[in-house]
Amino acid sequence: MTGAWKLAFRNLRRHRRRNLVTGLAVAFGYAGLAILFGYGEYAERLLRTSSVYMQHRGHLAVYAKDGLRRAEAKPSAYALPPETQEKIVGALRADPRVELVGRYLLGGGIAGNGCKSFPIRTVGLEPDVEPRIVGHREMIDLWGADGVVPLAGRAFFDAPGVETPIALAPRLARYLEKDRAVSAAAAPPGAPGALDCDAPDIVGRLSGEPFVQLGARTQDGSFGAIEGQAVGIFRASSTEEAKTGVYAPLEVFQRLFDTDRVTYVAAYLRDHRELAAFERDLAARLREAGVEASIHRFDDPVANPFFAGTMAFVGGMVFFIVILVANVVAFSVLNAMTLAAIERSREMGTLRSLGFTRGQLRGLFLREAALLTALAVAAGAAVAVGAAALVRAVDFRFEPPGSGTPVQLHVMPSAGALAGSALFFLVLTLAATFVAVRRKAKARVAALVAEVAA
Amino acid sequence: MAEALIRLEDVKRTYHLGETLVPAVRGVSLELHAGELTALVGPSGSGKSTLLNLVGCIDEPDEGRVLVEGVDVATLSDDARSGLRNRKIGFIFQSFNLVPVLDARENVELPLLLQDLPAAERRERVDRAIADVGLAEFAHHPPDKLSGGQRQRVAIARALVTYPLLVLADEPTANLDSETARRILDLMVELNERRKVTFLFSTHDEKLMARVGRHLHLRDGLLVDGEEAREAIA
Ligand SMILES: Nc1ncnc2c1ncn2[C@@H]1O[C@H](COP(=O)(O)OP(=O)(O)OP(=O)(O)O)[C@@H](O)[C@H]1O
Ligand SMILES: [Mg+2]
Repeated sequence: MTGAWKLAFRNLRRHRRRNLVTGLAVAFGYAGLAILFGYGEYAERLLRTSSVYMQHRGHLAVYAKDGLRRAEAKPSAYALPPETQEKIVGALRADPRVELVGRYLLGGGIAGNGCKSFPIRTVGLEPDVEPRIVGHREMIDLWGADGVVPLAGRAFFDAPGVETPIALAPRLARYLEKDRAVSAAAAPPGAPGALDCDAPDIVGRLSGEPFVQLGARTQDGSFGAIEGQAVGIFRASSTEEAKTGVYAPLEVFQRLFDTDRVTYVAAYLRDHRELAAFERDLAARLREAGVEASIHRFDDPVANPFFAGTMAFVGGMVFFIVILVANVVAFSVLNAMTLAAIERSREMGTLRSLGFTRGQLRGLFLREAALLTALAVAAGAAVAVGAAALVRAVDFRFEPPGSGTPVQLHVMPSAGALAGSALFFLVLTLAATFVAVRRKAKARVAALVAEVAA
Repeated sequence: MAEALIRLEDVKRTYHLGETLVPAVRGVSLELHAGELTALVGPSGSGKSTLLNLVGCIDEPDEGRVLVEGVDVATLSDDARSGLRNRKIGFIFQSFNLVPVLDARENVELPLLLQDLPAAERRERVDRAIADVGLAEFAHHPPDKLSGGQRQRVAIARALVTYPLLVLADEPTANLDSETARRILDLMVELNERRKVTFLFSTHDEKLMARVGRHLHLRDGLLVDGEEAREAIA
């Protein structure tokens, strides 16, 4: 109907005091949700990039069948032998959605400095893939360049001429007195002899040289040992890893464990949103290739309970607040529109007597609600973006639980979150308006015309 | 005689006030024909408004039938009844009932917006209706900047702009001083004579009744003849 928007707009303006109040409720509700979604998206990205890149899970990881659970206890049976690795890597590389492929060997053992030894968790990585993972655009975007360069020394993959470079987690480096040793330009000539651990200058001696003895049970059950040279301290992805983590080229740890197997092959996708489809295709392709494998996504609750649990918590919190805000907004719109419908009963009756159908009458109020929502959402979006910019300017830093690396808080909602919440609010206000005017629109016209405004 | 524009057949309407039943119209039959100017007369509470509402299809009888051009309106859907009101019936209310956010011209235009008319024709019709009620100068005034008489003229123009079969006016002059009331009645008489607009209006003003050809007397929800009515009043 021509003129309906004009009528809606004028009515909105005429009752501007009440509409301002309702509009503010909508605007602040919207801004609140937008910021909440901004925070939720940010938390998800933090956790995702941490899981995928920092923890080297990839977007998905291919294990031998049941390898996730059993590879460490019985690596000879549940780790991937070279020919299987080849098939998996081939299948992954063949897919254009895959950006990077990395093979990983996980294990456990002890590290000693000649005087003290500590339990360690070892991660064997491919030295030519690793820089592209820690230096990934998504990582830099979120964790900043600081988050991905070593805390001290060099990255293990950046140590030409060092035969067995290893990188230590920060706490472990301190335990081993190697936190200063890693920056030593080169190892002093000659392997260290027997140490007098009670000598008064022992700490100085230990921290003057980078050697760390690594010992582990090999995959066939005998004892393996190598001498690693600490070249750097990496940022641990969890407080647990900070105490126990040792990184080294895959080949170094394969020597330690006396194996040519790896624990899993990880695939890093160009776009994480393609994960579900990619996983399906990969499962089919591996089946075709006759590879018996278990595929675990980075968000798999079994493989990554921290991610799944935290996201469930964040999701639950967001959901709860959304319900709360939605209720407040729906009730204030319902309230305002009910009041408007009561006040304007006679006008409604007049319009009906002039020939407006019930639908056209509801349409007028729905248009008012739509306009009000559009204006309020625009204002709310400005508030949300302004607040998010303020948060960025304040540069508030915090350490995500378990991560050990401080990051800057961001709450900037994405365009998708802004548009999605706008749509949500529109549906909400239209539904509330529909409910508010439905009864009046159905009433006998004569009764409406006769009604005296309260 | 041609088919009646409006035909009421033993129409009854009872209001429910909580437990109490208020029989407002208790069995009225009547016919209205094209070109008539009819006054519906009766004391307060006799059922005038109720009857006009039934004729205007903004209320439904509990019993009896209302036929517009031979069609029983009870058989129509609500949307069809809305369309019928829009195209065939004009309403004038005692308290004018203009839309406050629209100026005089826009108020008059309102019912035409529901019809598929070319903009030019719509403009022409609105101009003519406004000129007919002598308000050309006030076309862009909002209702709250108009006097009571002017507002009622806007309402009359709005009722006429669709060229309805019938214009219903429920005590159109009750909220106006007697001089203004006389002028509004003059206008209705003139429109009836010149444009052949069919009017049915209710009033309890004796002076107004004298100007009108056909009277319907209503008492306690029933039509009575003129003599009875006068006796009752006396
Ligand atoms: N909505 C309603 N609910 C209950 N009773 C009503 C309602 N409208 C009218 N009545 C009653 O119905 C009867 C007829 O009322 P109606 O308004 O039709 O009379 P009227 O002739 O128009 O009176 P007036 O000259 O005062 O306008 C009256 O007794 C009135 O109290
Ligand atoms: Mg009345």
